[in-house]
Amino acid sequence: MARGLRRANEHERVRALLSTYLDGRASQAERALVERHLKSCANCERNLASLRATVAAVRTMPHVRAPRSFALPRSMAKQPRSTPWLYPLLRTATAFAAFLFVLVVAGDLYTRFTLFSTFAPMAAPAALPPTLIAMQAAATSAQESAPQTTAPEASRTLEQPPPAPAPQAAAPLAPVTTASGARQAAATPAPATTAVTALDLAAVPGTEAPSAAAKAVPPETPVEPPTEQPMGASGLGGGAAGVGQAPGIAAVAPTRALAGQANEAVTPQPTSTPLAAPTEVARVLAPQPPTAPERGGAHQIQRPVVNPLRIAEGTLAIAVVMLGMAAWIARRRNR
Amino acid sequence: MDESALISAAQKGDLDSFNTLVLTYQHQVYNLAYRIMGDGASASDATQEAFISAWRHIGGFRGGSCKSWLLRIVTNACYDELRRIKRRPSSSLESLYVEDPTPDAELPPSQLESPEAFTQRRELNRAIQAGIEQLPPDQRIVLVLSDVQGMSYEEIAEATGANLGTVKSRLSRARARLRDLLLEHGELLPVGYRLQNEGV
Repeated sequence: MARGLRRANEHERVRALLSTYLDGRASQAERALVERHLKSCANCERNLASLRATVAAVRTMPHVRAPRSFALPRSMAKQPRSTPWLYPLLRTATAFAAFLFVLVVAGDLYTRFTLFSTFAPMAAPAALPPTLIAMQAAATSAQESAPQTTAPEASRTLEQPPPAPAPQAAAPLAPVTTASGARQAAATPAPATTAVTALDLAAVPGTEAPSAAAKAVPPETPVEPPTEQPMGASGLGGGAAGVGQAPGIAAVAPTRALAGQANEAVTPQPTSTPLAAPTEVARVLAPQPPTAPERGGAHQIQRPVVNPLRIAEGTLAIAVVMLGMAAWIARRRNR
Repeated sequence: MDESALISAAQKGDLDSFNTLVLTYQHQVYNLAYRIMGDGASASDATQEAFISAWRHIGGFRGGSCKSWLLRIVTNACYDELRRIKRRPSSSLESLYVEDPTPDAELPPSQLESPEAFTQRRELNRAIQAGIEQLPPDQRIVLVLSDVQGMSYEEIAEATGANLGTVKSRLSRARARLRDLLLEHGELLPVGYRLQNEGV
């Protein structure tokens, strides 16, 4: 059995060696092995013969002649043969631009994070990440569209029965309104901005009322800083509460963080927040000419859009694409 | 003007010197391309690409055999062309509708050859070419370089960038596969032909 196995192995080895043996390129040991095996293996001998005939037949194939002249035309003489450095140069430039792009994006993200983290601890450190995300997502639309979007939402709320009685007998409050608008955002596409408005308001609890809310508040309603108000589950709610607080109206601090509601705005979820009667909501947020002046602090926060870093990012992204394409073309020309 | 003088003139930008080299080697270059590609149009494309590439890179030619250098370039051009055809099979389908002149068919019978022998030889050549085209590109190129072009193992290794062992095993597999393909179709190795060649 072992002998049979050895013979089978030898057979395979010789089969693989026949081509090299045919060309006279087998080593001395290989040649001896093949010749010894061939004497006792008719199969391998036939193999060798057919292989030799095949090679001979291929070798006798006629050499075909070129059907035409392949001489290069005179226009080729001016070919830029001397620019082999172009591709490496463009490749390096592309890599450099891509590196700069990554650097600027990283710097931008870092700057934004540190910018907001200086405000956030005053209000709600726990709610910071969602706040950041939501603000980032809708920073552009919050400033302009918030009052317009909020008003119809509030009117819709008016037609519905109050979902929950107000915790105090007093009139409802603006912050609750905003929270309600945020909840309605789940059902309608528009209210995303409403939620963001709430966030924008809440983001600066220690400062004055943000402009979006200030516009909605009737001019005769004085805006008070929210610091004296009881904070809800998060300071964000407290911040918003301060915005809508009107004289003679008791404050009802929302028990849920507005930031959390903004995140939940994607899917409708029931909430346990006590809601105020929506009539007051409509009154407070009714389309009235916004007369309250915008304050500096809020103004800065709401305009992260005009960022020179963003321009640099765009320019670098375009540069990376253009340089990459140029490098690709240069590489094809070099070939 | 000898070859090295033509090359150095071409390296200085003399297109006429380069074209002298083109005319000297174009038949061998085209023959190699034709046997690898299997059709005249693709062979012409590969040959043209090879000479354009040679002209662009002649500055990098560092002596040695100009023929080997050109054959290496056209081998690479064939690799590229095969890959391109594989990527876009439609182009090879299109070629079915184009009447390419088949160089084999145009070869006139030699005076010493009977019409029967000529027909037999032509059929054999067609069968071999069809068999070569069924080989995978790596094996196909090694077989053509070795048995059509008559290059040594070392030259093939240099042209394909493979080591000697790889060349040997690819050639062995290519020959065995071609033999099996020809025997399958029963066309090849007519007895007379086989005996005639085995006697050599």
